[in-house]
This record gives sequence, structure tokens and C-alpha cells, in this order.
Amino acid sequence: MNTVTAPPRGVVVSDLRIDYGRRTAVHDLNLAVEPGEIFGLLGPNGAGKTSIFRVLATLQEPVYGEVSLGGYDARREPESVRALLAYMPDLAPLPHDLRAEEYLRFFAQCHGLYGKACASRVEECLAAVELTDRRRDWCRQLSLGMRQRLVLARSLLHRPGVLILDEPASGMDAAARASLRHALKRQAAMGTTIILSSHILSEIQELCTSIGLLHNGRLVDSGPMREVLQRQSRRPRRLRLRTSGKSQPLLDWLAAHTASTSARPAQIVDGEVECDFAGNESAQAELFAKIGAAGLGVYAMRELAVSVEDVVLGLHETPPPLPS
Amino acid sequence: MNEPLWKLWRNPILRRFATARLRWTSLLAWSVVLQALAAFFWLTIFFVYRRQQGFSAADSAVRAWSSILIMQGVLWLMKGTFSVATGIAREGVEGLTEAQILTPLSSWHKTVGYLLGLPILETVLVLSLLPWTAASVLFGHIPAAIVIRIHLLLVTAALLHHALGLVAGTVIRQKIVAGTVSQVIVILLHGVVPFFASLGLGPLGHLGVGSGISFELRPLLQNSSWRGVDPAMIYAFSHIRFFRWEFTLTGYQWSVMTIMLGVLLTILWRRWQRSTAHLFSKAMAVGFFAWILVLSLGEIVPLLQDPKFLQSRHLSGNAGVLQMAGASQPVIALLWAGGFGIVGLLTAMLLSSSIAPTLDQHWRALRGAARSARARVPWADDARSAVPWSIALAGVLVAGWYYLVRQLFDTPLVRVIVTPLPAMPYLLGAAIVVPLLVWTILLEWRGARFASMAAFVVWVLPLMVAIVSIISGVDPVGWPRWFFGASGLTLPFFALFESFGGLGKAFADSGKSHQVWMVSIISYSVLAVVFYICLRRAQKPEAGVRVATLPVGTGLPQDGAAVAQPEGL
Repeated sequence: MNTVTAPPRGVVVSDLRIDYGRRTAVHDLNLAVEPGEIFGLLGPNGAGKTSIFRVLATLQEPVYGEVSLGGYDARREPESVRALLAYMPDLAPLPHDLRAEEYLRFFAQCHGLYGKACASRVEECLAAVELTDRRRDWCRQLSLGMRQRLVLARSLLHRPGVLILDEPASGMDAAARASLRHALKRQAAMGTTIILSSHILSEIQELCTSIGLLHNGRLVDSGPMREVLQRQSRRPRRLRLRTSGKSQPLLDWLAAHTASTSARPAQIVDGEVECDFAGNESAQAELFAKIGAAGLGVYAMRELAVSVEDVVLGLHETPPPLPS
Repeated sequence: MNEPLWKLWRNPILRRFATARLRWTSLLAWSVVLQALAAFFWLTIFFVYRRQQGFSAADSAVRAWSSILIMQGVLWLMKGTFSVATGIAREGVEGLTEAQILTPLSSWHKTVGYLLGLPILETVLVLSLLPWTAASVLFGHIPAAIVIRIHLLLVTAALLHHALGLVAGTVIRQKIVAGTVSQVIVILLHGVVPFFASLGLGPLGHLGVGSGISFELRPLLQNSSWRGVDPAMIYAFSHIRFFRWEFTLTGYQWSVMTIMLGVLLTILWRRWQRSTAHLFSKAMAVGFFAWILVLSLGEIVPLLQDPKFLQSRHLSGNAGVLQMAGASQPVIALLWAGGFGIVGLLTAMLLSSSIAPTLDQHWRALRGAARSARARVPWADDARSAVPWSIALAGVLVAGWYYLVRQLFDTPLVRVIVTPLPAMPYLLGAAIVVPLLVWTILLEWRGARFASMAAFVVWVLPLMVAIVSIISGVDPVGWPRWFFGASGLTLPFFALFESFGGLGKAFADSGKSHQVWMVSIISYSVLAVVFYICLRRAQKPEAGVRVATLPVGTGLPQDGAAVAQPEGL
């Protein structure tokens, strides 16, 4: 089998630039994704996600920049990189003249699997995407979601060290998406580096360990999910306070003490008071103590998480970054 | 990592097409129809000659075999090439070509896999006709050597045609158009190109398989028109004179086809290595052009020794027209040589189109080079300008053309009538270099679509106007000559007229021809210089600078309405 064991270096992109004519699609991108990480590349349409994926997959040449996958240089050692990676494009088309099983067998053979090894691996991958009972169906007869799953199965055939998925959940129903999540988490647990993009942001939030935000071809921010969301949140941290009594007195108290507590009351939602809080953790403890001392009956306080959706929608409102 | 290339049965692409195209139902349907047709044709022809004409069983079997060969040719060369061209175009549309790039199969495995895999149904069908061949060999007492030679030619021609189909499908990427183009190429190779062999297209005529097979078959036909023919004539028709050497037609044809197949496979390999690669590398284009020229000249020059050449069947088309106009033999020679120059110029233009980079490619390479340790783009890189290489192409053509013209005007009949001027090499050189440079520079500067349109409007349209006006009765020496002169394509003709001091007064008065030549060559030279200056300015990396307007309200200084955003360097 042609599987190449990935040296523990994941994916490293440095100084990457991609042009289309006079337009620069990606500006000097630097990125590092560790093995076993599930990295989500987020950004509005036209941000340059697919271009980056195509360069990572050795399908497109950048103007300049270094791309290393599993320790192999994509430009100098494309064959080694190709043996290591799997790329699933957005809405990947399938051949009209093959059955699902034959399609997988063909690609397994391209990766050097023949005979029983080929048959058993095809079985495993069909089972992983829950298409075993559709193995004899013509590719052209499969639904959109099934097609995506079949292409995912193809991507998993050679146990890739790096998996690049462009909108993998397109056309999938809820059950299929759950199955996709499990499959990807299993792959990541085996040390596979996974880079994906999706417009289903809840999927990203649930699946990814780290994200990168792309806007107009520039990487605005990247890192562990929570840190990026925190940094990119366009509003202060939002706290929600639950009282044993009525909420209105608490709202009024917060309004009167905004300057001293750094907490600005926002609204009452479901009987709880929401406020924007600009302080740090010790200030937060102090706020809780002050409210307690005021006798307002607050017995619980929690922080509302910033969602990926908030951040990505924020990108739409952000003016394009300036040239560095 | 990959299985050895020769283990074809382990090639996944070949196996994939064997699975997809050799399904029992379709194979059975095809076989029934094909065997019925083969039986009908073979038996009909056999009995027509045996019973109706009274030929021997052996002769009838040989004639019946020719029907099987025609069926095999149609299946393999036409249907097979169509399947290959449409199949690879479809693979591109279905995204499988890209998926295939990502597999660790070597580029040679992919090339061979598609070459043999896409026409696998046709190959199996051709093989299924072999029992009829065996029957013909048995009844016709056909020597094994002839059977082997014919099949060697057929197999090589099939591979060559399929490789052509692959290139067509790879470049065109639209299934129906690719299929149509592949069929047009097959028809051209077998039906049209052989008639233009005398204009330098002789080598292309050998890419068709008909002549070789028919010459192999004819000696077998005891009752054919070849019976009783002088063996020396048979020898002359079955051999190719190449400069001072002689080769058997079959061997020569096989060699030409094999080299051409090698060229096409290299093109396909380059495309698998890099999907954006030009069809030819720069050096490969020049080498290929030189090979074509050597083949053409090698076949044409021995024909010039024949004193009747300019009246012979080789030039029957030209001569027929010219004799009607009362042209003398030197004029026919001059126009023929000019035609060779024009065909060479068009071929060189085609090749320069295949190696000329777009401005975008050029900028990208410059920006990439500026970031790397390299100061310049490598000299033979696809993104490097094709202008110096088009000069090399022109140099090869001028050398070949000049050699041909010298040979032609050294022939006994013409030499006594005309003597070329000493400046002839320079005049011929200018007639090729200038239009080729104008074309290449325009192509790089404004792109293929603009250059093609400009070439049609400026080079082809005036010719059409001039031809219509002459046919309608206008004196060719009058204003139509300026229309002829306006076209860069006619420069080779005018250069030849000029070289021989205005030869051919039947068509153009020497002084007036000189005026047209001078105005035309000077204009095009000036145009080439102006275009080159524009190209150099457009090629500068700063030409790829985009002006980006700062959005209002970014909180950043708005010193100007716009900032120049350098793209690289």
C-alpha cells in the first residue's frame, strides 16, 4: 500500500500568495495546523478558502510561498504529498459509468491496494460512511448527500495523514452530518490533520478544535477556537444573571452602578438579566460579591459563549484589511 | 511505489475502463452486430470475386480481408479516437482528472492508462475480428511477414490516433467539440493532407495508415492492375526517397508515426505533470518544427530531380490553375515555393501560439522569482516570453525554405531562366521573421482571442477582397496588389518575387511588386517594434498593480483617495 506515514508536523503554510490575473486572491498567508487537529477555515464567499485548499492539495501553483504537508514540500515533493493527503472538493462529481463499489476499488488500486486488501478496505470505507447497502448502485443514481459520503469514503481509502475537505457537509441530512462528524473525529484521534471549510457554522463550532478567519484573502486571526472567538467577538463578554426574585431591581441597580462595576445592563431575557461586562475575571468576582451585598438575590451567573456565526457575520461587516 | 509500467493488467486506469466499458450486455450487443457485419462483408466479397469474377480462392480471400481491415480501421481509428477524445473531456468535466492528479500514480501510468483504457471497447471489438483475418490468411496463403507488418502499422496508427484524441480532449474539454475535432483530424489525415504533400505536408500524410497497408496488400492481389507492371515502378511506389536515401514505405511510415506518437505522449505526460503546462516546452517546439521540416524537405528534394516535377501530378492542382492563367514554369515554381513558405509560416505561428505565455503567467512567474533566490524566470520556463523562441522557429524555417528554394532553382530547367539575387537569404528571412514576430508579440501582449481576430481582419480579409476583385476582372497589378501586400501572410511570395528581381510579370509588374514589398515589410517591421515596446511595458511587474480604494470609516488616514497596492516584489 502506498500510504505514507506523516511525520509529526501537520500542515505548515508560510508566506503564501495566490493571484488570478491582476487580482490577488490570497495575501501572504501563514498558517500552522498540528497533527490530530481539526482546523476550520472560515470566511465569506470569495475569501480565498478554495484557492488555499487547491494549493494545499497540489492542484494549483501559488505565486510564491512554501507549503509543507506532513513534512513534505508541496512544490518539490508533490508525489509524496499526494500519497499523504486526501482532498474532497465542494460537490465533487462522480463518474457516470461506475458503481459505488467500483469507484472506490478504482481509487484504492490507484493507491496501490489490490486483491483482498483492496476489497476489505473498500468494505471498511463503505461502512464508515454507511453506504454498504448502496454498494451496487450506480454513482449517478446516488442522492447528493450519498455522493458526498461516497467521496468522503474515497478520501479515507488510503488512510490519509492530511485530510482537506471543502464544504464536506453540502447536501447532507442531519443523520449524515452526525455520521460525518464521528468519522472525522475518529480520523483526528488517529493523528490525521484535518482542514475543512463549511458554511454550516454550527458544524464548525461542534467539530473544530481550531479555526482561521479569512477575509479578502488575508488571514485575520487563527488559533484555538475559544481564543479566536474571544478575540474576534465584536462586543464585550456578555453575562447572564439569574435572581431568585424579580429581575427589574437588578437591572436598575446595574444601570446605577455601571461606572463602578464595568457592567452595562442590556435586557431581560426569560427572567434573567443580561449585561455586557468589560472587566477581567477578578472584576467579575467582585461584581458578584457587590450584587450579593446589595441583597438582590442573584444566585447564578454565567457567561454567554460567542458563536462562530457571530464572528463570521462580523467579518461581513468588517472593511477589507489594508495591505501590510 | 507504482507497479512497473509494462504490467498493464495492474494499471488501475486500464482496469477501471475495462470494468466500465466491457460490461457483458453492451459487449454482447456490439459483438453480435459486428460479427454479423463482418460475416456479411467477408462472405459477400469472397463469393463475388470467387463466383462472379472467377478469381482464385486465395485472391478472393485477400480481397475479403481488405473489408475486415477497413472495419478494423473504422472501429479503431475513427470510433476509438472519438471515444478517447470525448472520454477524456468527460473525465475533465466530471472532475476525475483532478482526482486522478491527486493519486500517487506516475504521469506515465496515467498517460498509458488513459491511452489504452478509453478505447478498450474498440480494441476488444477489433480483436474479435481476428478470426476473419485468420480465415483470410489461411485461404489467401498470405505470408506471415505481411500480416505482421500490416498489423504493426495498424496498431501504431491506432495508438497515434488515440493519442491525438487524448490531446484534443485534454485541450478542448468540451465533449462534443473534442469528439468532432478528433474526427476532423482523422478525416484530414486520411483524406486531405496527402493531397498537399508537395507543399510540405508530406510527413503528415504518413500519419494516415491507408497508403502503407494498400502497398502491403497490392502485391498479394494476383489479378490486380499490378500484375505485369514493371517491378521498377512497383519498387518506386513502395519506397520513399529521403534526400539521398531510400526506405520502404511501411518502415518509413512506421518510423514517422512512432516519432509522432512519442511527441504526443510527451505532451500528455507534461500535462499530467502540471495541468497548466503548455503543450510543448520551448525547446521541444523548435525541435519538433525542425523535425517536420527535415521530413518535408527530405521527401520533396528528391522529387525536384524529376524534370517534369512542376508539371507532374504532384503539382496538378497548382499547375492546373496557373496554366489557365498562362503562367510560365518558373512562375509555377516560384508560387509553389512561396506556398511552401506560407505553410511553414502558418505552422510556425501555430507552434509559437502553443509556447507563448499570457501576461498573467508572466507576472506570476516574475513575482515568484522575485521572492525566491532566483533573480529571473528560467530561460526555458513556460512563463518566459516566446519571442526569442519564435525567432528560433523562424530561423529553422528560413534555413529550410532557403535550402528548398536553392534546390528548386538549381534544377536544370529553372536555372537557365532565372538567377536569384545575392540578398535572397535576407529577403526570405525578413518575410518569415517579421510576420512571425508580429504574431507572437501580439499574442503575448493582447491574448489569443485578440491576436486571432486581428490576424483575420488584417491578414485574411484583405486577401479575400483581393481574390474577389481579381476574379471579378480587376487588374491584379492595380489596387488589388496593395490588398495582397497588406496581408502578412503574402510576405513570403513578395520576398521571392523580390529575390528574383520581379520574376513573373504575368502576375505583377516588377516595379509595382517592389513597391508593395517595401511598404509591407517596413510597415510590419515598425509594427513589430511598436508592439514589442508595448509588450515590454505590459510585462513589467508593476503593470500588475491594482488600485485599491480605502473604505470610508476604517479609522485610518485618508491622505489620498486611493493607494497603490503593490502586488508582489
